[in-house]
Amino acid sequence: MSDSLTKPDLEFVRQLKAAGGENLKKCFQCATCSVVCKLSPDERPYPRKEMIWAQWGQREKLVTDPDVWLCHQCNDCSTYCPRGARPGDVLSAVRSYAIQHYATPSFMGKLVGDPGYVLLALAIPVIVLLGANYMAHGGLMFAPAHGEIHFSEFLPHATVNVLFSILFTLALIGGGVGLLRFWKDMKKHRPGAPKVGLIKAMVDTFVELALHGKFRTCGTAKPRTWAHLLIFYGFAGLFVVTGIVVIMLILAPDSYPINTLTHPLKIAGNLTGISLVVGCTWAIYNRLSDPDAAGSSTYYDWFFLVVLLMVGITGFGAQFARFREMTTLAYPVYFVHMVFIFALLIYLASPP
Amino acid sequence: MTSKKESILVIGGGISGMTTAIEAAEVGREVFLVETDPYLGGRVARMNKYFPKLCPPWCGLEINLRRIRQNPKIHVFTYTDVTSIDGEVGGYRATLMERPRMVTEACTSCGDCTPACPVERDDDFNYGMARTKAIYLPFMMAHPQRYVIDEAACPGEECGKCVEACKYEAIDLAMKTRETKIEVGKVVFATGWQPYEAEKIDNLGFGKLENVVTNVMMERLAAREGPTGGKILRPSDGKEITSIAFVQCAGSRDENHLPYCSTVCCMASLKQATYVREAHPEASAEIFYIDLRTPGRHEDFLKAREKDEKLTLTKGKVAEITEDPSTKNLTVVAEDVQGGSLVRREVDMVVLATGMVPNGVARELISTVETDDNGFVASDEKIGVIAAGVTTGPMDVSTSVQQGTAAALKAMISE
Amino acid sequence: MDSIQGVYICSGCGIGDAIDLAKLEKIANEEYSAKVCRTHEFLCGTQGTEQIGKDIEGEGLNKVVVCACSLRACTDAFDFGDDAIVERVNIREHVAWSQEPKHEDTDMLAEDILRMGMVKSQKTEPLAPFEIEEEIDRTILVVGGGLTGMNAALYAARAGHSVVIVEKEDRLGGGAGGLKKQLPMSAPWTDLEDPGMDDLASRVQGHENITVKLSSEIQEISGAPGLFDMKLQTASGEETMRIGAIVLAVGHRYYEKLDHLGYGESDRVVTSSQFEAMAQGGKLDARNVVFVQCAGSRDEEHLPYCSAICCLTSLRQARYVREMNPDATATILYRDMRTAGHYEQFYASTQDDEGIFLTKCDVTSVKPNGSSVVVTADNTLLGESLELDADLVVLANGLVPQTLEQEILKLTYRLGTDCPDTKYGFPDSEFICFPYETRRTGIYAAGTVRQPMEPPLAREDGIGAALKAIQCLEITGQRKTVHPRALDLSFPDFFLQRCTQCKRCTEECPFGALDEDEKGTPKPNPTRCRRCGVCMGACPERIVNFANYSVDMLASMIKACEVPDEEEEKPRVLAIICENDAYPALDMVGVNKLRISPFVRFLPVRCLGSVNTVWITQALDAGFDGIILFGCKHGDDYQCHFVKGSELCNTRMENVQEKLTQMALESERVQLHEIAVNEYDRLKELTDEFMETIEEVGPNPFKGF
Repeated sequence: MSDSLTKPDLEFVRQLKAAGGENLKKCFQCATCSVVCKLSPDERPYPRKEMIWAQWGQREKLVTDPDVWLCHQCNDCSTYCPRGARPGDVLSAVRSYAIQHYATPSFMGKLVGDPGYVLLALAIPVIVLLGANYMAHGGLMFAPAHGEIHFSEFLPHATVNVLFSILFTLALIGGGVGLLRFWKDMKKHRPGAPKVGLIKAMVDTFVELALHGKFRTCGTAKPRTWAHLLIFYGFAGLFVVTGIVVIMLILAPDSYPINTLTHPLKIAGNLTGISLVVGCTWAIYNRLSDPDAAGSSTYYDWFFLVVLLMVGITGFGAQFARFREMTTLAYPVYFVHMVFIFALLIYLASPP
Repeated sequence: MTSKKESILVIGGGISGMTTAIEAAEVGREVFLVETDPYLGGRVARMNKYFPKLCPPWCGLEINLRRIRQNPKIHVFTYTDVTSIDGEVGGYRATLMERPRMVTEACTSCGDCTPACPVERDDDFNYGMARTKAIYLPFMMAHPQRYVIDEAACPGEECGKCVEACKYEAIDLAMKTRETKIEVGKVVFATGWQPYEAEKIDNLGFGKLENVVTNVMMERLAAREGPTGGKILRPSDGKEITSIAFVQCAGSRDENHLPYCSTVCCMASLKQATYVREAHPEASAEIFYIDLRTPGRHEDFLKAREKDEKLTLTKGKVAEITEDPSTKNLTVVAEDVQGGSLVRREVDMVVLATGMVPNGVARELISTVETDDNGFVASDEKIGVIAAGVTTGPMDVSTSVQQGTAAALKAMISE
Repeated sequence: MDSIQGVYICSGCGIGDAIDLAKLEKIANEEYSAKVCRTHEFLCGTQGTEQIGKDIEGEGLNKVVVCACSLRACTDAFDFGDDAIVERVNIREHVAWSQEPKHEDTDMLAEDILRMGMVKSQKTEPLAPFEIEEEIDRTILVVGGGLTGMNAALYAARAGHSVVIVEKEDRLGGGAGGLKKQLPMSAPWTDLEDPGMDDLASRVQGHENITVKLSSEIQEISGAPGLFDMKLQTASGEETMRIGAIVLAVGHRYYEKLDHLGYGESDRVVTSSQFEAMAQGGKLDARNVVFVQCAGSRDEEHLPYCSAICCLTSLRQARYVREMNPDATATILYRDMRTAGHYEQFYASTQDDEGIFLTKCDVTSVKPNGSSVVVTADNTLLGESLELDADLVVLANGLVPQTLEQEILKLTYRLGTDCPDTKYGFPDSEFICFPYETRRTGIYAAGTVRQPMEPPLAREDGIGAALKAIQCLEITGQRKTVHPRALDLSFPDFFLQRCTQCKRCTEECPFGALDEDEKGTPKPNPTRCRRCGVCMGACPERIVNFANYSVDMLASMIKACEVPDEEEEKPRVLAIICENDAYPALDMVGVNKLRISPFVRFLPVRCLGSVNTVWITQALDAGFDGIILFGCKHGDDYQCHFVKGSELCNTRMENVQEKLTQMALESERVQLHEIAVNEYDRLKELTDEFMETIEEVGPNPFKGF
């Protein structure tokens, strides 16, 4: 299949409009967007070609288009667009659509990408965790009577580890399969792309995420760079710290410094946690205060941001309550914390 | 002699207003033609050639000025603003304020004053690309053929060198604003336009990059009587250009600037490309456009230009212009839409095809006049207010004349 | 009329410093016996003009010769009304400002142009209006009852004129009357409107000043502005009417030679107007409609021009598709989307519909295939090809003027039955500044017959044309002429006793003013005449002359110049210049203080078309070494205000050059150049070059005979 246009698909246009690209029909193909985009390459630049595909409802071309993933949604294109067609939003809508398209199993995509499924997305972790609690205690048990708070009494460490390891593995498989399907489709539908191998592409993506080098080049998005970096490092840091703690708990359960805040691991965990909460709050603020510069926020974006923020807040809440020995508060907060981590893993299972 | 009820006030002495005034006066109506500049002709007086015939605007202007000079029914007020209008259809009272031009009707335009004048000013007729003395004739064919002193530049009576030089006692440095009150039945707004402020298009560098000029400036650069004698020399170093790029829709068709199409810019750039190719046969030109709009028989002009091998027409809007600081050469960036890749062209000079913005005075003078979101005015015959030319929308010269003629009839009807 | 001449010489503006004015006075007094001759240092000042006024009264002057600045300056100051005929001799721009001061040659130039002015003044007769036997009729005929015509009629009627509309259909409305919806006609320019033609038609039909003739066609129009007689075939028989002026608003028809786009092969391929009729029905049996733009237009093999309204038509009709079925799609394949001015906003709002799809491309084929149609195209917005299956293809076909290959007005003019048209059949003006100039006085084309245009422009165009028609009658009523010599009272007088029926004047008149009788004698129609003098230039018998502009007058002016002997080495060149463009350009030579040869004697003429070849012969007889003519550009992009004047003169001069060769004279001695009003520097260069040529070919051998 070449780039060329085929029969217009009104239904897909409606889907893209609903997914956040409501202005896509306004584009008159002047190609300002492709020029002002700092990330767009000279050969086969984007997002102008994506815009005509979107206007004509060219579903296959868009879901297999690697270029939509190069966009950092800095929205220089939307700022300079003379027609108010907001290409940045359209690419975001395409990505959102593609995520659902490649989610494995496919209902996972709906779960995190469709506002109608928000209750289900949260109900699943609640039910699973309550079930685990029930099984561990032979009945629901929220607040043990004695003084010192040990969250393992709510759910034993082993249960948590097994549960979340399975979940994490499923997430990896789901995400991986989605990614591979996308990669295969892309290879099939677009001769010439990809130019590099899958591993190289993933490494490059990680490096860009770590440095945000390209994002910084965007004019409109500059103020947003720091929020993004804080989230990224907060998230990555917590991921690493949690990993170490889990390994420690398995290998040497007693060496885990449960009751001190001065242990390097605790310090690292708290610092990265702060980074995450601040980053998320900032990003949410940016999206609310200057929606034009930030571009349209799909439900999928909001789901991620809010869940992530809630993971951070409830984490701190649980820790606070535990140290203050507020038993009636600590366990429920911890429960909520677990629910959001669960939801986050569902989210992570969805992107290709 | 027509009655006051039948007389007409025409605000704006450009091609539309002149047309309305002349056409109505030749039917016998009394017309007051008021122009804010010190000369008649408006924008067209500053153009080099008209498309598609590539004929000089001064040719038709000369005929129209002759018609005005010979017709006692037309009362011309230049350097004059209409400061207030009250009353209603059939009985409008207008106040005309003639700014002090410091030079009286005794001026013979002999030109003895200019060598004597010690100060200079930016020549607005040439969009600031040349200088004149503080006492100046706006351009060589200006009507009235009478000098004017730029009050802002002139040191005033303490200098008085021009007064000494003038043999005809035509200079009055103490001249005051002159007020005239007139009564008319109808008011025609033919207040024209100004080029969109190109500085506002921040990605195209006008005002920051020396060799980025606008299309109206290009008209002066190409004019044989203009600041460069018709050679197209770039502003940074006066070098004869070897390559040039035209950026279409610089501000027009853009909701961040002007949502409408300015109608004339495609033809104007094709025309200006011929200026370049005629003045500098070795030079190359490229026009970057969204849609080429050459309606009607103008298509012939496009076809003729397409045959020129050194003129390239590229579909794709320029959205970035950068400058090499050492050479001051410019690189324009656009996506060649049909080629599917970004193109970066290094050129000596860039012309921004800036659009038209209506001069919105109608609303200020008569509050019941309806103006659209972009400042254009529609005629409201019930209240005796007629709009003509670019006051009603972007249009070329011929259409302005056509509208100016229609406005004359609208202004003559009293029911 | 016996001339009592007063000569007034201004010494201001550097004139006195450059020229020996005493010599001029001497010439005025001694050679021409002026009644009064005064020199004044500031002639255009109150003192100067008052002095002239006093002398007119006191000395009984009937001719005043003002030796000062250009006739383009101080027009009001030197206007003495009917009291005296003023002749302007331009010794400022044409002498003092463009010659070396205090030089013998400068003085000789000033003296010669004074002589020319004195002669011209003497030979100028007072103007009297032409005589016609009948009253000027003020009725305006509007041909065509569409949007343009109805607006023209309504406005002319509202201005108090009686109007007759002739419409060939049985209803008013024209093209716009058949529309389901009209384009937006006012801000915000985004939504379709009711065409409102019924309302307009009832206003027209209800107006007391308007007579509507439906199902009617013109059989013949004879006569001239103010005096047209129209024979009309109406449903109820033949009628004759007296008409003053005409607005031609017959609009367009659609181009239909579209076989190359599958037209005629299937009922699934229709034109815009057919689609309009389908949409009128309110139901559409097609779910995906493809609009093919530029069907016939912008195509060298069909209509080379752009029809200007088809992009808007298809956008409008795409909306119908969507309104009639929310799940139907409309796809528009365009080459350039041409929605000028405010209509960009209509494009934007139409485009925002989710079911309207657009791409630039070049359509390569339209092939009906059973109940569907396959459309292929190249060069899409992705640079590639495209293939679409459509239920229905709409060809956005271009428009042609109704006047193309069709007689409408059926004028009995010697030069044809209708207005002369441009190369595609539009009876349009070739003047940018004067779009209503149709070369047939009193007949003004408007709307899409004149050029492709959008409806709001057509509406305004009708009103503008109505004004021109009213104005023509107003001016003709005063026995004067219309543009470009607006309000000129002079007219050509034909001394027919000496006419040889050579028909040159009747063939050459750019405005078709002259008819012929059976023998070929010209029959002047003064109300058609524009006073350019082409007939005067054309006549070998010199029998066509104006009271203030004649063959004899200019010949005498040429003879009035003093031509020095060969030994003096002062060559003489006669420069005949068009007063519209070359004269102002020569003024600019002076304003810019350029030096031009002092050996050239400039002779302004109304138009080069009025140059009679006898003047060339007489100049050569008088000893002039060469003759250079400066006129307006001719050819395709002519700038001649009288359309053909400069071109006709060029042909005459080619004949003159041939004759010169036959007489063993160098043909280079006579040259014609096109000059634009702003080309003052070129005027000087060409004159300098011509002087060099004359130097090379040497003196005129007839000099001194």
